[in-house]
Amino acid sequence: MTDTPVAEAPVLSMRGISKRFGHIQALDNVDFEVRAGEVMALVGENGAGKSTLVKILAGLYRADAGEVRLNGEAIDLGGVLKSEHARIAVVQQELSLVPTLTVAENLFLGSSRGAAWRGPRRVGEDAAPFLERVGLEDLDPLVSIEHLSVAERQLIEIARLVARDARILIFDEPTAALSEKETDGVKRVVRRLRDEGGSIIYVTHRLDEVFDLADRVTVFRDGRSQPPVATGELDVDELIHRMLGSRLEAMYPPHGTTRGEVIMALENLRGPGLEEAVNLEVRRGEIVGLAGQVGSGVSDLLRVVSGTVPPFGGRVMLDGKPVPPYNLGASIRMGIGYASSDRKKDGLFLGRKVAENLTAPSLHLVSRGGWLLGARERAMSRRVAALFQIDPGRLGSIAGTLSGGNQQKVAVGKWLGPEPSVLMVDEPTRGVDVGARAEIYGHLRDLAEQGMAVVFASSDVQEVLGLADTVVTFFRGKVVSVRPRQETDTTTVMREITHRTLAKEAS
Amino acid sequence: MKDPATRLEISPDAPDEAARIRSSRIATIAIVGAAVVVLFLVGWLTTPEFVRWANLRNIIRAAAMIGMIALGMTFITLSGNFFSLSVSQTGAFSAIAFAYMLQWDWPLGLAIIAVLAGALIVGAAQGGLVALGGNPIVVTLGFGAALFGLGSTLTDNKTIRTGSTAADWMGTARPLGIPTQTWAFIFLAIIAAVVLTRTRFGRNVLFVGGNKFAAAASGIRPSRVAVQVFSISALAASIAGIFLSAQFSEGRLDSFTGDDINAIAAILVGGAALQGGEGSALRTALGAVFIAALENLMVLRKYSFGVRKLWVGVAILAAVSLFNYLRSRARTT
Repeated sequence: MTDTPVAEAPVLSMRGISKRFGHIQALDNVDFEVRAGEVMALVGENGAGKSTLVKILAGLYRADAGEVRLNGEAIDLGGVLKSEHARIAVVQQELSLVPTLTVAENLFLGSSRGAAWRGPRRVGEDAAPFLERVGLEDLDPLVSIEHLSVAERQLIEIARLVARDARILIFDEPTAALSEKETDGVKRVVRRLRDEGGSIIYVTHRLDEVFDLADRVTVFRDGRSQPPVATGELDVDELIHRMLGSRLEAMYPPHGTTRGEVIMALENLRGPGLEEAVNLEVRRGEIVGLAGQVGSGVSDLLRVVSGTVPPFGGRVMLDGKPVPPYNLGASIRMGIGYASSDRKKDGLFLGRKVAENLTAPSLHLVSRGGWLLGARERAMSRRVAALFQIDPGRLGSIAGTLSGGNQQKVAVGKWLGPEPSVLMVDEPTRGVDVGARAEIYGHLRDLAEQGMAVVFASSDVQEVLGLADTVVTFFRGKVVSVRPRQETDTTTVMREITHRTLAKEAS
Repeated sequence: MKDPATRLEISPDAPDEAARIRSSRIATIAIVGAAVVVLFLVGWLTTPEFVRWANLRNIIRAAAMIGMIALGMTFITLSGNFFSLSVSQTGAFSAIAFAYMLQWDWPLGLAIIAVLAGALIVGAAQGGLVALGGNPIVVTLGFGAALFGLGSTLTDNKTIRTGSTAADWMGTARPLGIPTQTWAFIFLAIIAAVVLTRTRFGRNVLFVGGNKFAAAASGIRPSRVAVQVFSISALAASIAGIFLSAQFSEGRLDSFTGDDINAIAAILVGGAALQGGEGSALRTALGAVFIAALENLMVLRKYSFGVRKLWVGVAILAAVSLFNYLRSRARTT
């Protein structure tokens, strides 16, 4: 980084930033910078220090050492207000909008321009230009947030920061909750803000986004930074190598060899979110991938099968016996495990210990007459932890203190306790770093090899093709096709989950 | 991928984090214990009669009455249903019912069982309404008002004498020098602690309070838990009512006035999480001792009613702020 031309001088530069939590050096002498009119991607595994850096920029943490310069001048980011004053803003991963207020009111939340006495119409008129900048010009600013999709809310969150005149925008995994199509909207806005001279810091686990969007990329590993590289000088393998160092390993395990008898059959199953009855057979040892975008019905199908929501009709047969509908307890006892896509909402007890989380669905197996059997419970949590390679030293930790990847391992792994014959996982690797993803894939494959049937839903086409033996594609609540993995490819799946008519022609 | 040695090693977490949070949990009970010790030290140094045995006995008896109610309500709080605002009316109504039954010369055992059964029904009804989506505060407020009105109509606002000595022993005896109420309180505290930590039901309560949706996804029914915890709370309040009726040989509508707040104060001073999922019976019991001792000390110091309530309020605010601070620190770093 010597002799940078004046035009290329960074708007924001951080030098020698260190931050320590107890015995953990979260950031160790880290350098980071972003220029005007640039998208700088920030990548690294969970625990590499990305979110610590973002929180320092947001003024939530104070660095132990190092300096931050804005346009060449040293500044102090101690506190949220100072960060806001420096025109730095973070697009929150967990959306921070007020669902009952209107779009316009949310846009100006905390600013006098949103005050109720100004009347909804004038606030709405003020909101229009900002909505236009994030590509939501057709949206009525007076509709309340709760009627909008996750993708639209994400864009409004961005518009709100633009309305606050932020110049350095930090996107912390903005597309984690979005389907591939919805992601395009966010990407368009990022490009537009960059072209208008804004500086974008883009934190992501999706490596394709790095190449698609970013001008340069900074890789964090184990709390240390590597010098930024232009994305044109990199390819995916090289980037993964930089993230993992010597720990690089193939992402997906080999496809399955064993295939047993039919263990679960869906017979004319209908339910909320499904436009057509679903018929599907799942065999022991098989991994079935349900490919579809958000709202395509893949998640809805898993919810109906698991007994989370009542079906409209049809039935689920498990090992030849009908499963009582809409009865989670019965489904679990009969051998269906289901991990939803939102582990924070209904997957984990974040305030309770990891060990308690791991035995939560199996309490009936570790108790007698209502009494918990301590020894049996400990054995169960250790066994499940071993199956999913969860550090046994962390069993006594509060689940909320684990990294995203380890939380996901707990949220999925806990379903091994009741020894289900069918394990269903919605978005098995959402918000999980590259290393933990490979590990979760490996565990799911091991389980299938041992005779369990695995059904997972995903909006990530690579994931479905990489892991599944059988690929079921969904579009707008209907099954488009069911094919063995060998008889389909990226283009086919992509076409089938995005475009109904083309899919029909193909089949 | 089947050779574990070739697996990726991933996601380093902060291992000292766990130890720190464990220690902050231990700290919670230490803080509550220390608050009780400091209060007794202050009382001892400033007010000689505070530490006389006769007075200490008063404290542990008062603590027992508040404590039994608070122990029952702890289940409600831990399950994420906040508080019950009908416990003082449930206690008073139970005391009146008990007094009537003794007046009618019912056998003691039958009277106790009948009162407890009635309380169970009242509690289960409130839990049922909460399970159907009612706000716990509103439901219990409504039930409390209705019970008060019913009691007022039945008794014509008069004190009901038991007219019997059958229950005298229960209300006034002191086995080993300790009042019966206190024995019952200790006994119930142990039962509550065991139920919460060692039974499936206790775990279900903490799970539902910790995350209702995750609990439901694990096959636990939050609605069933709601019925159960409100039944337990009503049962505990009714036990306190029976003891009070036995102690004074009478049932009065105003006999538990103010004890809703005292019980809530005991739970909060004990550091239970307001949103549920975290807390302990033992800490609530210590909280009850703290509140009872504080009230007692202030009465001895001749503080007026208003000033006493003021300090109970201050104690609640201080405890909630302190525990919230500790929790948020444990969460963010």
